[in-house]
Amino acid sequence: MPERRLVVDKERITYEGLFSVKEVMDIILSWLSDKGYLPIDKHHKESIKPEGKFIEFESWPYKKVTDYAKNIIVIRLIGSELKDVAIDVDGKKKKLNQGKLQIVFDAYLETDYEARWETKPVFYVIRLMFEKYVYTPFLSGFERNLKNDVTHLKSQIKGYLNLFQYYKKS
Amino acid sequence: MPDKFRDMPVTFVKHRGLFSYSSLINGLRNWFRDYDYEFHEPKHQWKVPAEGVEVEIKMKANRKVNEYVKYHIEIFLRTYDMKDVEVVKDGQKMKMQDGKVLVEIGGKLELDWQNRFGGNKFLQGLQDFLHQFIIKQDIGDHWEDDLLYKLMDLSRFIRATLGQEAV
Repeated sequence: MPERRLVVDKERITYEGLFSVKEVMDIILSWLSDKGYLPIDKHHKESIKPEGKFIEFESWPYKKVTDYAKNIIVIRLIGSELKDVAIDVDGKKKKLNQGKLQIVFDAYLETDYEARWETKPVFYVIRLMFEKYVYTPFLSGFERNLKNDVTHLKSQIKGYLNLFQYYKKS
Repeated sequence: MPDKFRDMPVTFVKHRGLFSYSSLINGLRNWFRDYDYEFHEPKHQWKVPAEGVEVEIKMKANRKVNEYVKYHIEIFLRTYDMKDVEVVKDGQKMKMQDGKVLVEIGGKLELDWQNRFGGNKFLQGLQDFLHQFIIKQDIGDHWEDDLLYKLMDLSRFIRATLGQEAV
């Protein structure tokens, strides 16, 4: 069983107003592709309720940093009370959503993901000693990079959502 | 003992609202045909309780990538409380369905589907060496990722067919 360290714990983006769910998803997917993360979708859920559309999306993209360590980011996107609206952008009608959006980020650093150092108890002890006394600076570096990745993704999404304060519904 | 099958993560797609059942089923069948998968439905169950139609469909598809690797995709589709409704879309009347849909998409990578390394311990050991050191990159970074992207593509196709917003 690989070891997982929690690096980012429940960092959220909460937004209410105009946005496009599809464009938010596109931003996340293109960011993952640019950074070399493999997107693993866990579930997509959409339902129509009297107050509006409800969307829930969970993804666990990962990136193998080395043959020993792997970055995992958990992204949960929850859209609620969503209604379709049309706005005028440069004289053209653009279809957007009006409602609430919450995106929750968790990130883990997984070590020994191939489970090579768990086949025997003595290997497990060697691995513990190695991680504690030899490999600590490298693991700290991986954790720092992972935190920076999550911060960068959050800033990309926040930047996109901030654009809509200048839009008006038609 | 070398592993013959590598499981891929399972994706769930849940939808509640309007959708077209025939477009979904026919779309899935055409998707498999377009991508050269051998496709069959081992289970197709249709129940009509009072609340609405319940359908359970299991689809299995496989594709021989080369003489050593085979992709397997499994879909489990279930509908709940499905009722026929008539909808006016773009000025035209269309027959659609209203209800809940759950689609489970899974897959696995089969190595040595011709069982060339079966039989004795020496050949198994040789296969283990092959998987660990010779074709490790091909398995982990090429074939597994390729199958994963195909499963994502299929998931996106199902969500688009169901008319979901987050495609």
